[in-house]
Amino acid sequence: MSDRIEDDGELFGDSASRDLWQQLQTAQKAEPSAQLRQRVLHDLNRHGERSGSWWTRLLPATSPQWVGLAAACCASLGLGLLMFPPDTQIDQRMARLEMQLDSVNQQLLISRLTATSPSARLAAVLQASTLDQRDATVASALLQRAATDDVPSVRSAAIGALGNEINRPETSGQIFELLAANDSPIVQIAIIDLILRHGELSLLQSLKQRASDGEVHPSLVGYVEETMGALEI
Amino acid sequence: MQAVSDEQLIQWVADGDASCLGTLFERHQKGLYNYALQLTRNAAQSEDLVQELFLRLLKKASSFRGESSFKAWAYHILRNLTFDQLRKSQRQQTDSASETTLEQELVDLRSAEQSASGEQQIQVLMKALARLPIDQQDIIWLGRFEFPDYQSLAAATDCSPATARVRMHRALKALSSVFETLNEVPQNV
Repeated sequence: MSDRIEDDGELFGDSASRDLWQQLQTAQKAEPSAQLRQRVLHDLNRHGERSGSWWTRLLPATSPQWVGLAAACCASLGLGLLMFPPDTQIDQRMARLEMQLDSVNQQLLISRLTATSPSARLAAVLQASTLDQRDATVASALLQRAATDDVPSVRSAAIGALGNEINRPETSGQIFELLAANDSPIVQIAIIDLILRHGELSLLQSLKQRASDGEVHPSLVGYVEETMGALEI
Repeated sequence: MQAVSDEQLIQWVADGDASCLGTLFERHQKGLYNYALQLTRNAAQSEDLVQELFLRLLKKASSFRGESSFKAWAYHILRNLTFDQLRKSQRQQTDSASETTLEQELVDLRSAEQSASGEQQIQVLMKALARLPIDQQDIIWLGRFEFPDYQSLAAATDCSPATARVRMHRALKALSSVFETLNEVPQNV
């Protein structure tokens, strides 16, 4: 008998119940608030101070500059370790430092993506677009900006920053929902350009269909059709 | 695939590097929060429980032996915290009207963007799940959304794989019954 729950024919024998569970699994789940992240990180900092963890002792937990300072410390230490490698466990230490740097940078980026100032949010979106590798948290924060930001330029920049991630099924679905929901031609242009630059064939075909169904701003339908024609789709 | 495994990260936490717990938080916060939310039906309480969980993980990191995955271990601790909390607040004794409101709030919270008629069945399923006893919601949620096999489900729920299988079968049978009942009456969602 298989140990995998999914393969339990007695429970999930018929395809209808399988499909229903699959849909529920991929349905959007509730997001914890940003305060939860702040509270947990605050707890970790406080613990680090109490326990004498070397890097948190260097940094005042309440200072807004602590993240940048932490990144600088990690980078200096990483450089020092590179120049004067200790005899043992250098790989493990470097992996840990790199991971800390990634984590700190990511937390900083996510906090900037939710900043009050539109220019700070825009700068964070542009920074996110330059990252070679992004994890699901950053992609999710970008989608959140793309869907809900009050400022069209931030929304359109967030859409552009998604890049190749639009080919993931959950992201492409949300992108098309955004296309239907946004009347702003600036935002629609950003979505269309994103699909034209990075979308796979199925996305392009879907865009063409939606343009002919009237889901695209009338002034952009010609642009879509012309580009699709040039691409022979 | 993660560059550094959860188990390696918690080992580093045990070695004194609390910052690694931040990475574990980023990886698992959403799943943990939604699990707590399913059981407590209260967003603020669920966030408190997740925060408390990470404090416990910080203190107990050195007791992680690697007999199960980090994820199973974390869910196991959160499960205990949540059940303790529920016992304290005696949620089961709330009147049925309040229960219905909370159940609806939970469904609304999760399905705000799923109101299309084609997704009504999902809402009915969520509603049916919210009507089950807590222990059955617990095993279904973990078994369907977090742990793909009975071995890890058993580790998270502190029982043998065979017991986990029996509990899962019973809970899904109960769910199926509630689901069919709800499908027979018109939905006002």
